[in-house]
Amino acid sequence: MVATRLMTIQEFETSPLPGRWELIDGEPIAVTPSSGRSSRIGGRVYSRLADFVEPTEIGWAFPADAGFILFGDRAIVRSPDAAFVRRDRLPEEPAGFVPIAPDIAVEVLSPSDRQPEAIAKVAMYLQAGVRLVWLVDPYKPTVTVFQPDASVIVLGESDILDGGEVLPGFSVAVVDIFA
Amino acid sequence: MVATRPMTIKEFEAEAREGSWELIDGEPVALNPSGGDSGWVAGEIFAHLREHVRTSSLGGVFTTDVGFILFDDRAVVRSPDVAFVRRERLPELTDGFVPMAPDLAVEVLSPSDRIPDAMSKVAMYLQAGVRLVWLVDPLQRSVNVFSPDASPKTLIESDVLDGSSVLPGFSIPLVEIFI
Repeated sequence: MVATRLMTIQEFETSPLPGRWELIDGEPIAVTPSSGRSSRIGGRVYSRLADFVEPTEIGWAFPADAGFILFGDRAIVRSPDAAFVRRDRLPEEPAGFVPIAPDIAVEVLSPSDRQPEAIAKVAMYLQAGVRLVWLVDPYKPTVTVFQPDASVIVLGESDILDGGEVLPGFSVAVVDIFA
Repeated sequence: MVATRPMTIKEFEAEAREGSWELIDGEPVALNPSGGDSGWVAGEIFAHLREHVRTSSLGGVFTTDVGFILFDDRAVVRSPDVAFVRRERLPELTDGFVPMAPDLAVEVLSPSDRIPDAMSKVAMYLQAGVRLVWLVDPLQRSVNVFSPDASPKTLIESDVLDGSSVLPGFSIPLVEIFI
């Protein structure tokens, strides 16, 4: 489907599009449903984040489907497969789209996902100010960690994924994500 | 500097400019000169590739500053720090830009480079059809390997970088390229 004209974030938020969509520079793009394995793994990462975050005041964990307005000056709404936002940046639970980029964005690859698009999405998150991006590949299995000011790190099943300075104290064994 | 209107590749090619520039969707963007460290590492990678390609007749190796027209339908000209094009794709070279995306693109980080911008560049190369991207970090003494059909890989100084199916038979111990 090709949009005849570009959409604002407000139009996107109020238009009843069937299925899941993201907005990329004003153009609504359909999101293919995840594979069962990818969805379960994304859910597992979200659960770990939520279990860690919810007893504290440190911030908010979001499962897949939440829309984030990534930039102040571009019509872009994207939905990571899981996300975390610190409460000092987002004091109240948002009624509409989350009005800022998350602090942590998690993308879980499905077999239908193409690597170039996944890397482009990671780059966009980093450009938007996301401080930690976890690109999870259930089929390798690996977790690739991207940060705006450090080299890319690839974690395998014997490694531990941690929250770094963004979410101090959070850690999960990579093998548990893929269990 | 803000372009008043998007520039075509032809206009970009014809216009005299001081220093190194790339064209990103019609907007000329100045490139910072590399640090000595990254220039050295790029030179080492070029020398190893050149030697391998000379003996194997695999194709052409390009130094930095060569402009590649990455897409047929976008005004994008980018200059990897080192690039390789396989012989069967290698066009008759003229004084003009190389009219295709390379098979291998190498980017060596300078201290002034931002990771989000570097990742955007990597994503653009992959979307243009580049089959292998090496993102080299001289400070961390590591190389991240990206390709369109595999998860990213991280190599450290004790590892060997190989040319996979793009440059069969090529390999280089990373300890040889870092100062």
